[in-house]
Amino acid sequence: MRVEAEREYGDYVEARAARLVRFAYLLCGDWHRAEDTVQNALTKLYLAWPRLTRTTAVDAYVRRIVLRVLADEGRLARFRRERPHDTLPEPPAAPDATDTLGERIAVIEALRLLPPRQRAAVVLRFWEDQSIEQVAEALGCSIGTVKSQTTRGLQALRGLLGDRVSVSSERSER
Amino acid sequence: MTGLNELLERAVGDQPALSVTRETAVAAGRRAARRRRTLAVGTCAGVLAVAGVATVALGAGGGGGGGRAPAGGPNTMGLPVYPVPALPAAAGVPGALQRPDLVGSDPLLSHFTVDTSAWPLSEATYMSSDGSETVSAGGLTITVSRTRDAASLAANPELTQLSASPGSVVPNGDPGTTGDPGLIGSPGTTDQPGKTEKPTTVGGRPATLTTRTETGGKYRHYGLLWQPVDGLWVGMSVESATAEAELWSDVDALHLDRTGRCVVPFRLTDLPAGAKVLGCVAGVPVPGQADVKFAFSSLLVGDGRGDQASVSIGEITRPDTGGDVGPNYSPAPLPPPNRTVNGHPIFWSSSRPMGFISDDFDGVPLSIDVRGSYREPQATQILAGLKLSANLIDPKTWPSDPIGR
Repeated sequence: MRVEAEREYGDYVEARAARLVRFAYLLCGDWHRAEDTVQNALTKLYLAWPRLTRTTAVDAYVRRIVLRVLADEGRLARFRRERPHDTLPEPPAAPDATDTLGERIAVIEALRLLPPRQRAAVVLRFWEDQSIEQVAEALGCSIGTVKSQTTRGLQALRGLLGDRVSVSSERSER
Repeated sequence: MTGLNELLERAVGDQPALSVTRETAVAAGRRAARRRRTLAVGTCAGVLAVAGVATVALGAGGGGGGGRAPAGGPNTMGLPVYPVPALPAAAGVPGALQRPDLVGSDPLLSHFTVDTSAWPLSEATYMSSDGSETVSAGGLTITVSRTRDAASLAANPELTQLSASPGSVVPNGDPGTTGDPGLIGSPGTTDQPGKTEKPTTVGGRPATLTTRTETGGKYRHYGLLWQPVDGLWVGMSVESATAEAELWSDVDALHLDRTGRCVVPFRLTDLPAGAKVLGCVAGVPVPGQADVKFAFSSLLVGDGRGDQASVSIGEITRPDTGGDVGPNYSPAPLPPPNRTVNGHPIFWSSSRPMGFISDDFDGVPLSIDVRGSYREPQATQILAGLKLSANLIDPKTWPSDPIGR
């Protein structure tokens, strides 16, 4: 890669790596795996970098790589080495509103209990603030599937997190 | 009640210190690119193997450890090695060993050479930046630097995340270690699986040898960091499918007392007022490869204050075509030429990167990217004065000075 392009790639990594790792963490529930996954994704990005020119498109491209790497390695399904449940178990204990650590654990636990595609749809939609069309493209599925996966994911999260989460059904359908 | 976005943000609020950095990402990318490239040419380059050259290099005064003393590693007799295409010698110019202070001070000079690589290669790429000079050749990367950081990064970028501890293999009195605790950890231990680290010597000087198994376990990475003389650092990165002996073979092939001229297969006869050479990347193909006609080379020229033009051949970055990218992305064809400069039809892109671009400029991909206040007139001036060498393989035939009439 030419020197300038490599510098631009480095600028991108510097600016985006932390958020990409957070994205991967929400999907896999393990910081080490998240970093490993993002490092793999960024290596693939390095090889593709000379062909990519738009930062926004690069973000979408890297998110797709992260999703694919996680899916390929079974990490989406093996969220924290555990398998998704067909039925939702008992919700995690509701922490006090001021219990930040407890809240983090509860949210991550709740995400863990979602099937992989629901989890990815919810994270892309509500944390990455992606449109339904963008989520569909990222997940390689139809808009209808995104809507249904998002709705089910939200319902499950509400059941698990109780009244700590507020998301309008309107937003989930938009 | 809290919005989901806010809840998710809080859930990632305990993110630990990031181990993915610009340096680790670039280093991993370079390794992947080298693997891809080397695997692509492995069969062809295999016929260029020259058994026993490492021994000859050592006997001829090689050895990166101080320039003359033999390396401290195992005997390298019998290892197949591959010639690294060299830059033309810069007669009378002292090498890094004699004048560490000159390393990275002139973009048109490389103050070290390497004769061979233990891995097959299709080309060697020489680069010079402020304070550091690098050559990449197949699975081998060597950075010779006035600063410890740059050399450390070349030797083993992942080590930037390790904690320093007593017993680190750092020569006494090294000012580069002050305030820089994260580069070398305790010998024999690392905080990452599959890695080892141990002290060693190169030419009698203390050094740190790190090893790591690549993902998938197919290749082994060796990193070596040492200071052959005060004020000079050498970082070496070697990928090997076999043994550590390959690393020491590469050490033996390193000459810190020889200097090469950074040359490119073109000449710029007309530059904007005040412009000079700011950077040089010389890509030198291994001769005799039927399917290799040229390598990537680039000159950065400018006024040193932000007005710059990068003239490159061998690879091009296509301008933004407005389309999205994805896993199955393939680059769109270049738009048709919209300018003619000196009889050459060529496309001018006013989007990023701004400049001229052609995938067939007398048979070679070529681009001139401009920055700062440089615009089409400056790019046109440079392109109009560009003289491409007839021979794109042999650096001895390239202009000794890449600018000027």
